[in-house]
Amino acid sequence: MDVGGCPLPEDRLYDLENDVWWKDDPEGGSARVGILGTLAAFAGPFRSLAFRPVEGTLERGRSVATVESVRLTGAVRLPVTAVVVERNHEVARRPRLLNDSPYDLGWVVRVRPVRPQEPGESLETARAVAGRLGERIRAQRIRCWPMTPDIELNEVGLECSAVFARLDEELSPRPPGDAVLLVTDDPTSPIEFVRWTDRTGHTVVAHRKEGPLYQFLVRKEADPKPRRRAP
Amino acid sequence: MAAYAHPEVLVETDWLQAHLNDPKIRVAEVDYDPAANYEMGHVPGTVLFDWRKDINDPVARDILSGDALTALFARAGVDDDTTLVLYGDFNNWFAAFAFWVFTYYGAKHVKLMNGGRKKWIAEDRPMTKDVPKPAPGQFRAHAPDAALRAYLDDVRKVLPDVKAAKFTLVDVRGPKEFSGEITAPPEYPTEHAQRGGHIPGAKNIPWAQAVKEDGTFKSREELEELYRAKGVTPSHPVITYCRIGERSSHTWFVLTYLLGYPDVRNYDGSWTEWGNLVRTPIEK
Repeated sequence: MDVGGCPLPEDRLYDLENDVWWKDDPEGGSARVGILGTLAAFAGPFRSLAFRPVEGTLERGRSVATVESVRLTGAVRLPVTAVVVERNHEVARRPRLLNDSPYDLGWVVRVRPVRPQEPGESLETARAVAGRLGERIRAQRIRCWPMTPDIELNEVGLECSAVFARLDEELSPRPPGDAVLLVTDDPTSPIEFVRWTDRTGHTVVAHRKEGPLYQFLVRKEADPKPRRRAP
Repeated sequence: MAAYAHPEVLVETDWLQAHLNDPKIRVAEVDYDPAANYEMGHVPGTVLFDWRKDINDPVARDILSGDALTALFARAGVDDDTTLVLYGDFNNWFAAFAFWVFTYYGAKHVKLMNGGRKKWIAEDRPMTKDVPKPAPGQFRAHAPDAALRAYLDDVRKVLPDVKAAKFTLVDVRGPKEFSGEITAPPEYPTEHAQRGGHIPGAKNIPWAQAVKEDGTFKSREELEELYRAKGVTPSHPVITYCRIGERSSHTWFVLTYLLGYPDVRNYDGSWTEWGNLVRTPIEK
């Protein structure tokens, strides 16, 4: 289901207090744990995940890994009392998986609950948490995008020509595939962005309007092809 | 391993955890970004100092006034004999700035928690989202200690001494900011100056080189090696600066307390002041 523009899969359980999900393995007896996509969207690009050297039974709320983004340092905490049986070393190698695939490839640990009934008793369904998560998305102004912005440019108060000068300056040293989120209050920006994409060949992946603010998520292309429109 | 010159300004995470219920100790988290840090969970009993709102003047470009500090400490429950332990995000970057500001206003019992927020979390120590409501503190700000702070004119005046190698300017920004390749770090793209480069004669030692991977300070030997190798010695007075004066208070802390340099001032106007002034010398 969709909550405030953010996907929330219904095939698992949630612990909103610790910002983690729980998905039972098909064979039973164990489950995967990962962080909420809303936390990843709030945090911005993660740049590290370090597993804690823990063994044996860990109580609910204990940390299994430390994560760092440009904004925050946080812990990945267990939603129930459990034993860690596997760590996702791929996500330690590529912490951006926490942003790009929080509910799938970005899982963090596989665990065995100490009391098999605890997840069902203390964790909640997507439907049950949707209202509170929606409030949090509004309060923290969380915006989920189809790809994670590598940087956010807040260019409120500038007119469009200056905005595009900043955008060009920001894009030029970046590798292809990087995404820049640009926020502007210039009401001509929707039209100007069509001209800009024609001129540069880069892509507007998504856009939205929030009050007076226009937001554009721009992806730098490897081989941009500018084009001319018929007048 | 030699002890720091003033080891009493640091506490370790295990010490703090053992003293959380001590009524004479107040803990404050100093964040650049409280929503992503303090509000997500903090050391139990800790109050928040929001760098932007609480440590700066709301109108003029300045640190907070003495009266505002008195009000802040009242709200935080800090008395004259309270030990105030600071820690924060970004390896204590803004906590060190708060330490400098509070010391400037005469606070005597201020300490930094070595390793900051990052180490506390990495060690999986207790955290809470509860916000304490301390009884009002009685601390009153003293007259500012001018010996800790350098202004634009002070820096202009020492330029000949810097050239004559009798005075040291330490630029603690990244090498690309120092060389003028960029005018602000990529994470803070809006905090530009009109010109890039550095104050003539400054030595570049990025602040984060004083910190280990786990967020704690390097040993005294490592720090002495780091600064002496660039010619920053206790025999000359020192002024530190960065872009807006925060990172340089971290280096001010290291030189003053960990290495015991006798005369170190922080130039908080820093590059956003110097790099915007007409007809002011710049080196690239």
